[in-house]
Amino acid sequence: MLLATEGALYTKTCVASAQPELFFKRGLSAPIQMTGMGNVTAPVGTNKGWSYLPSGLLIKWVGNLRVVGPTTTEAVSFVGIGPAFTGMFASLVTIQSPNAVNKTLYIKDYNVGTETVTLHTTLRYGGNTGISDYYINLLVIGV
Amino acid sequence: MVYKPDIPKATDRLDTASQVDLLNNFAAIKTLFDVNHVTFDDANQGKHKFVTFPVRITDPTTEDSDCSLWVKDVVVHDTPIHTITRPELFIQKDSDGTPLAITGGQNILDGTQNSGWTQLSSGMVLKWVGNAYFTGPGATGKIVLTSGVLGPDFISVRAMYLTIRLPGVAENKWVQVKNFDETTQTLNFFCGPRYGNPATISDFYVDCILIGTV
Repeated sequence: MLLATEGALYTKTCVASAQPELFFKRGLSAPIQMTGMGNVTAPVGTNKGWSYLPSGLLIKWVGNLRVVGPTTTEAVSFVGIGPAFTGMFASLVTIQSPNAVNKTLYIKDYNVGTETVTLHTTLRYGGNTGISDYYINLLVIGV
Repeated sequence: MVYKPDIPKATDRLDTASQVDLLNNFAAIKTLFDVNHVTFDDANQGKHKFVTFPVRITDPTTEDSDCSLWVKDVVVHDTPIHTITRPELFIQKDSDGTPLAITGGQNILDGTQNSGWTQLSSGMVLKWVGNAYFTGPGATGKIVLTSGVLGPDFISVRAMYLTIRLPGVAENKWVQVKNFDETTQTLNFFCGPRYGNPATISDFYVDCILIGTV
């Protein structure tokens, strides 16, 4: 039993990484996971990963994820990418392309229940139809 | 050899006083060792089950070629107007270097806006603001990281990222980071519609992430 005036370090097997990871318990508070990460490269060329920061913060990313056009909205799911988010705080999204593309990309909203970030895009010179395929990098911070 | 915490036995030939003292010492050793440790004769004997750090009031003295790990109380805001105190993990590299917090951080939900920070294990800090509302029109905007609320203030911001969030329909807007003013802990940005006067831009939201030293 830990006292309120103590902190404890220990290892425990993480379900998501299937490895022993470092945990820190602050007094009587719930423990936080300090280490653990994973990344899968499927489909080929795409990265989908997650990592804990020592504060217990959870970051997840997708890199070089293909969005198939024509579409003006795209729901990116983080289900199955590491531990499930219980809170999503902030995100960043960037278009990736070997060629300059006339698109503007925005975050539309989050849904922590479905672990989904919805994006939407426009053509830079007006109109939303005929948007061709593009690739994105998306980073989400949460717990 | 199996550890025997209960020797000498009562039938062993020892001075009565010594026997009691020895017995007490062995029992005390086991009691002490069993705190946080795998017990004697277990397959993992000698290893820690976990490590408990009593909260220190002062930072330790760390010798050259050593590294210290300890726990110290830190006061953080859990709301814009309320603080909590909780133990966090610190590291000090050799020769009494600067103590670096390894853990620590908090997200503060204020209305629909998230503002938060986290220690990185290098001692740097990452901060974010999610769903910050910008009221147009205007060609510039700013996000103030309220001093003393979002963890330690930035001394030097090393990287800034900004993304527009539009909960409604996609519109032709743009944002561009201008700078970070460490004096006022403020991220300044430019913004505008794709066409026309930037000062005519309508309302929007932004998410930002910053990394820097504290």
